[in-house]
Amino acid sequence: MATTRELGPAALRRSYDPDAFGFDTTAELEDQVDAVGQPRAVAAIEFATGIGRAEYNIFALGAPGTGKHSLVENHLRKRAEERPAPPDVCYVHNFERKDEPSILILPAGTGRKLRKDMSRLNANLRSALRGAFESEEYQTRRQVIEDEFKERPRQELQEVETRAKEQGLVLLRSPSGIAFAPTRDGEVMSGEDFQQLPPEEQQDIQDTVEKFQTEVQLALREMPSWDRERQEKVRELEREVIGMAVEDLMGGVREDYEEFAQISTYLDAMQDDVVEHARGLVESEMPIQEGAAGPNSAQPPTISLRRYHVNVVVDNHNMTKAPVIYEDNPTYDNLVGRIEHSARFGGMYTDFTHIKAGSLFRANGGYLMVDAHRLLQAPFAWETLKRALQSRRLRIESPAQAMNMMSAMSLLPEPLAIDVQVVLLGDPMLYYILSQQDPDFEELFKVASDFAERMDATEENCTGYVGVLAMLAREDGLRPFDKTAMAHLLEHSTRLAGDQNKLTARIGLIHDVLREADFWAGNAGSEVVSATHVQQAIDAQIHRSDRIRESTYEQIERGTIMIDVEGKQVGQINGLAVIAFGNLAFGRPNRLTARVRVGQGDVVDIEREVELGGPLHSKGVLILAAYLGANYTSDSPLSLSASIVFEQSYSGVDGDSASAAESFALLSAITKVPLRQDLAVTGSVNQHGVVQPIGGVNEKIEGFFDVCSGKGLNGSQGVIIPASNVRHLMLRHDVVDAVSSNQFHIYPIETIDEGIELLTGIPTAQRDADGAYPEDTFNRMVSDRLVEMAEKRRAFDSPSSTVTTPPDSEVE
Amino acid sequence: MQFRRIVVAIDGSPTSLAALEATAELASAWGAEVVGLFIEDTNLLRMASLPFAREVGSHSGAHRAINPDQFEREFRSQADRARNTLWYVAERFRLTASFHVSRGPVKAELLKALGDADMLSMGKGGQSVSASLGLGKNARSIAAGTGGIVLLFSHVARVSGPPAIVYDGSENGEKALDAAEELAGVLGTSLMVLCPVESELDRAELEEKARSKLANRQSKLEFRQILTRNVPDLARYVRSSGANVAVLPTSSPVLPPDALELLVSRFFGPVMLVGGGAEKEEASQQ
Repeated sequence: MATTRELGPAALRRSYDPDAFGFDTTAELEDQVDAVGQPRAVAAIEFATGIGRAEYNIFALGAPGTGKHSLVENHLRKRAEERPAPPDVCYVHNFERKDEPSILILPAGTGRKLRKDMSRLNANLRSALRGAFESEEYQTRRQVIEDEFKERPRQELQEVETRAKEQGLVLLRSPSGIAFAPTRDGEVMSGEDFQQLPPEEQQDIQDTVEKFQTEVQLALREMPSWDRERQEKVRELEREVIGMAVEDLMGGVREDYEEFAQISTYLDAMQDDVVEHARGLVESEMPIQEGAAGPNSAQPPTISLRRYHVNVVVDNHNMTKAPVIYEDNPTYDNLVGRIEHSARFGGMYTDFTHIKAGSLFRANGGYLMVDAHRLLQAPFAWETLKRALQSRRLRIESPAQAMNMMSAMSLLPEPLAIDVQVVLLGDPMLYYILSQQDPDFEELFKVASDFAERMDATEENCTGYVGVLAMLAREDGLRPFDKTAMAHLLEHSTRLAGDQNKLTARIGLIHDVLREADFWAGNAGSEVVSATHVQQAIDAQIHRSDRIRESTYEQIERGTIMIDVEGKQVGQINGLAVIAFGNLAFGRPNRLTARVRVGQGDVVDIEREVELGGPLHSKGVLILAAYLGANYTSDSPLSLSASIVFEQSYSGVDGDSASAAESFALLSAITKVPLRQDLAVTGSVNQHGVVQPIGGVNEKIEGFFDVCSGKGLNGSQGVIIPASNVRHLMLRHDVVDAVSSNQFHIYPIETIDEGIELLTGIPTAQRDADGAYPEDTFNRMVSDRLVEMAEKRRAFDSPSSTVTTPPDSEVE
Repeated sequence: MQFRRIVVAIDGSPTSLAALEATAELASAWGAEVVGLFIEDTNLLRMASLPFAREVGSHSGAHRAINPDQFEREFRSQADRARNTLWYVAERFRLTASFHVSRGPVKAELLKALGDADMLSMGKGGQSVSASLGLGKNARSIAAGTGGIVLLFSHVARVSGPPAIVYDGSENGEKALDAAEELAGVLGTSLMVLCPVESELDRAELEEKARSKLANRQSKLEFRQILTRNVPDLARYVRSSGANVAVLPTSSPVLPPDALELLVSRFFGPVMLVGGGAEKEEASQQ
């Protein structure tokens, strides 16, 4: 019989030597600025930022806590150092199309200066316009025009009145018009007197009246054209007087910005506009009078100096390099910008000063980091971002406006030409979904920066890892960590990685332990965080979330969940499952039983029958059935009917890690050889009887250890694991101690035969030259039993059979 | 000078209603009685009775037929509106008020009304050119004809001060100064005295004379010399002096009738025309 060697304590856990670090506390360490353990991700980022082409945006994919954000941001900031500060972006009034504000792109810092200069100009403009309007020159010339046009109709009518008087008529003013009547003795002639006049005279008077009425009519009809003429003359005067004043005032600003063609063009348009609207500008800036337009008035002011403001939507005056912006709430508005409205005169009002830029504007000329999951949750944001990256132009408009759902006044600002590299941060699943489902995605995000969840625990990586942890502790203002604390943190990282040769790249999880260990050190009044405090933090984390684990173990101890940890049983074995809640996973022993009878070779997975077993579990059961048939009855049909069940399992079971245990239970049921109950088994099996590695080996071993400890360790208990899982072992110190003191045992096996020997104490052996198993071996017992069952089956199937045993009757 | 009885001519036009409002405020301060007067213009009725009676719309320029019945109905409607407005304003300012409707030529009825009152108040007319035609002339001749005081209001109706008077030292000027001081007193403002003289010496002389005349009055006097005789310039000067109301004598040698009428039409605020005593006699003989 081959003997399976149990594992010694050294194989059960990897330790890190604190003295190998070369420091006593992390206070001696400098910040670790280089990325650790993510060479693939770093190379991708360096490539994408180096190539600098439009479609080479980045998707940084990795599990939460793998340090995507900080690593990406650090690299982008390094790249940003090599690029110049981007220009300022300003919006100004468009004098030709007032609803389409114009954009000014100016060197960094120029926007703010221009805004200040224009503000000062506006303040002076108001007084200059007032001064021009109040100047004696303007007043006199204006009055001359007004007097001329006021006098003109008066003179016209007075002339008519005078000539009418000469003709014996008087001009009368009624409430609504002008009329002529003949006079007699200075009074208007009555109708009776008129009738007494000779008909010829009556006709003459009537004709004369009609003639003067026509003259008056013509004079009155001239009035609108006189008024237009007056207005034009006033406008000409204002263009002349105001034009001079404005030219003087704007001269200084023009000189300051003559090198910027955009500003010069804008100032030209502005000057024309000021002259054109000078009167309205002065009147709108007058103190509010009763009945005049004001904030609460029913009528809006016609025009305002506000139209000459400069809205600096991106102010880069303090930038010396390209921006790196992280948009933590990538809604449409925050990403693109928005056009705000204010309630005014009973309606919603807006103008170019209400334009607010989003993070894409601010990141222009640099880099924008966005959380992909949040981006996809925000309505319109993802589509808009893609459109902007495709067209390289960004226009601020509300989604409602874009969908023609908005009735309030709005704007159509000139779009900005953008040059921005976007980095999406998200988990791998999201990346793969986008790759498959969104045809634009791969076109626009050509570079995947793939963050590994684990890294090799090489000396270089360990040193870097410690450096990163020290930096995080320092950034958080934590106490220094001594070398034992760091060694313990590395061990915890290895445990989380689930491999003795790995460290977890989910630094976020270790970062939590750092902060909590610092808390416990503070509670203990320690100036330095040591391994004790780190362990306290880990224990406290587990304790906070292990209510269900405690409850499960309590039920096992009380016998509510039936687990035998000593003795032997036929067709019964302790399997091991892992239960995960949030960040806590723990192992739970499960009783597995098997029963067999004569049948047609089917192995019934009861879990699958009741839909409590997942596909992987079913696959494991089918594989073991295949193993059974091929290994023991290759020359005859497998003539049994077997059922396998996870006892007291009321929720789903998946995975094939119980298939080795199921094999043992089934073989025990076939041979009626009892199995040790003080051992638990984990491992999957292939069709050749080779035991394969499984996940959660540490939790499973610890789970059975805890159950045995609860019932009392008897020195024989232990766990059988796949040999290929040995390198994954990172067991708790109490388990290692129990193994050291021979109170608990870990047996690595490579084949089902090795497990059978451990569980039954009977040798297995291989087939001999005749293809038969040797006598007194377990495999011979299985083979013989299966042959016996096959014969019974054959006899039952034969027409001349006299066997009366029903085909599915128990054969125990 | 005391204002005990003020006649307000109301024809229902916006400026006449503004005149009523402003006059009521002054009357309340003076404790004066307000008499609302609506005149049914017989000249209009006569004209409307002519077989070819037509009028030209003052804004539209359109020809339209008119008849006496139409004017009768308009008169009744306007009188009712004027009466109601008067009662409303009188109640608001707690005034002693009465309302009269008279029929006759407008100028004659106004002359008659002013004969029984200390002041006649009326609007300058509507916005139309026709309404302003002859206003200055008629108002001047009414003030001059009765030797009384005519207060004309435009849309800028409120008399909020300070008043400015064109003072030439004449008898009519003295009377105007007296009325202007009364106005400044009730408004609680200073009185701006514009002296149309050539030299500073003449101005000082006028100032002394005015101060002597108003020796016992409380109002603060501000004297300014004005050199121009050009009416538009004079109108601009009065306008730019900050005065809210202009007080003008009707028989000043520096303000001949044409100039006075022009000034009335050019000044944007209320204008108080003060007639001379000699003219009153002359007018009454006409």
